[in-house]
Amino acid sequence: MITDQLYNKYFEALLDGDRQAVVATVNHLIDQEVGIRQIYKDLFQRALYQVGELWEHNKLSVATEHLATSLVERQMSMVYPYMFSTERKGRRAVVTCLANEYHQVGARMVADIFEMNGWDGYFLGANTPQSEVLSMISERKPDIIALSVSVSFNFSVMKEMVDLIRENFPSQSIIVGGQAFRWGGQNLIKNMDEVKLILSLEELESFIGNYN
Amino acid sequence: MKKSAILNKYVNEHASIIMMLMDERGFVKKSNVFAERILGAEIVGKNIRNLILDFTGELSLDKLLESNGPLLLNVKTPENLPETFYFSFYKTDDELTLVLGEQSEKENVKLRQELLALNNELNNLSRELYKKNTELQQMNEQKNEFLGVAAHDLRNPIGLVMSYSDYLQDELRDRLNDEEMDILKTLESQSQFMLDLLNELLDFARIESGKVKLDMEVFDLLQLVSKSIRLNKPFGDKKDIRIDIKTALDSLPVNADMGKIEQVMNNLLSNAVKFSEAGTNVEVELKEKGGYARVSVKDQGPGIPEKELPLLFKTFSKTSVRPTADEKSTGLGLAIVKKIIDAHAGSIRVESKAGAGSEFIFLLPALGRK
Repeated sequence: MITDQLYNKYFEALLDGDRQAVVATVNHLIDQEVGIRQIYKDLFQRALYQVGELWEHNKLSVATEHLATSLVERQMSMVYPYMFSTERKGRRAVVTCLANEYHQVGARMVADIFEMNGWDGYFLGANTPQSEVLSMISERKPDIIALSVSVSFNFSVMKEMVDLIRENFPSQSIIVGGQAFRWGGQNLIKNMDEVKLILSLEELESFIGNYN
Repeated sequence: MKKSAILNKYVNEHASIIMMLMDERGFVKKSNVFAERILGAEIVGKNIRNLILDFTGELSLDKLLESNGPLLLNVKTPENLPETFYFSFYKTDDELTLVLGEQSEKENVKLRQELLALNNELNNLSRELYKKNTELQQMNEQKNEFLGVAAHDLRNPIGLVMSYSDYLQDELRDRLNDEEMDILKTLESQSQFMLDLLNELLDFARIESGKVKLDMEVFDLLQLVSKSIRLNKPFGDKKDIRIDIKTALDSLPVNADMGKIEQVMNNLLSNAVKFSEAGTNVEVELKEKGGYARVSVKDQGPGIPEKELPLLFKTFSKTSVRPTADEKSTGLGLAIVKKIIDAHAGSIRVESKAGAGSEFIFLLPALGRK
């Protein structure tokens, strides 16, 4: 179980860049057979949101933010042996950050949630050029393409990307999400045909669960 | 406080620029806080030649002073890390030289972006690697399962071929000529080899897939080794190879899976006989050493070339050394032996030289050791 006390200790170590301490916490949770979803949501996601908030309120330098994010990403790898063993469902999702988007951890979590649900979650990473996204769709033929937008000034890039996908793959299912939508932007999606906005990992899980 | 004084104070205490005043011989007379942070607390009185890293031995104070634009120079921090600064040198009106060193903000931003991109790439690669690794593990499990099923289903028909060829040899002994009898003998020996191979494949698949659980019990290893020697004696006799035991112990209790350790002993002894020339000896030695039971099986065979030693415990890897009496070898036996010993938290190794025999030594935790 992830108690507040455990979380606070973890978060403190994360900001200090104490790799050994954060790794020990995750190892402890794995040993205690705490579920991957819980580790993702109640530890990794909670910590990343808090890091983001502190950064936005100028209480954390960008260097510390990057270090903490990198540490979380490294620990995500620690639970992979458990995650990728889930029974496969034969479905594919391509998850990508847009061009000029350097914050990739949220999108990677989305790809991982697909994996946890038995999908193949292909993750293209940060700052992915539009041409690469299109060629991946052509190559992998995903059931879903997920676009991550973490900063609101990239909404125009998102629209461009959606238009390009529509033009080249008219029936492709598209979902979008990311931290940029915390401050608005939902109305932009309403005008886009067959694009679904997903605002949280819980919502994503329910979307995957209902996907036919 | 005057504006210039505030500015001086701020620059001296907070600006991220190295500022030093040095005399004509290069000795530092004064420095700001940042210079001390980068170059060490006690730089006043030091010569600039000792503060700048000179990789080529060509650092000339005169040349530094004559330079017009900023010079890219490396310094060593108190943490022993090299740092690059762009240095400029200005003569002051009191015959001193003002040394200013700054880092390139553009370069720093570029580096940070590059680092971020590399880190992302590394994380994504490790994600792919884990995914592929899991897929490989799953495929390996499927392979073992297939191997197990195939070997199991083939065992009965091959056993039948072997029994029938044996039966025919007995029943038709008086009616068949020598050539026909040889055919039946070959049928029997080849099916025996296939059966051995299938049994080893089954063992291997079980061990690999983790389906074999060790059935631990306390027993006397000396008794088990003596029994294995007795069982292998007839094979040794056929080639006039003597198997001796050497030990100063009366007993050697261990907590292990008796059946599996017997399998290990039989494998090592039959290999020793298989690969030895007639008229030689095999010596089995038992000791207790450092909390471990140590068993060694030493032959006087042809030995194994050094470069082939790493292949020995690998699956299906046969060395260039062949059995001396045309006996068969599946290439699985030692791989199984190693897996069994590893599962007991023991270890196995071989000492061998071409032409000087081989000694297989395995260790098992002795009783009382965790």
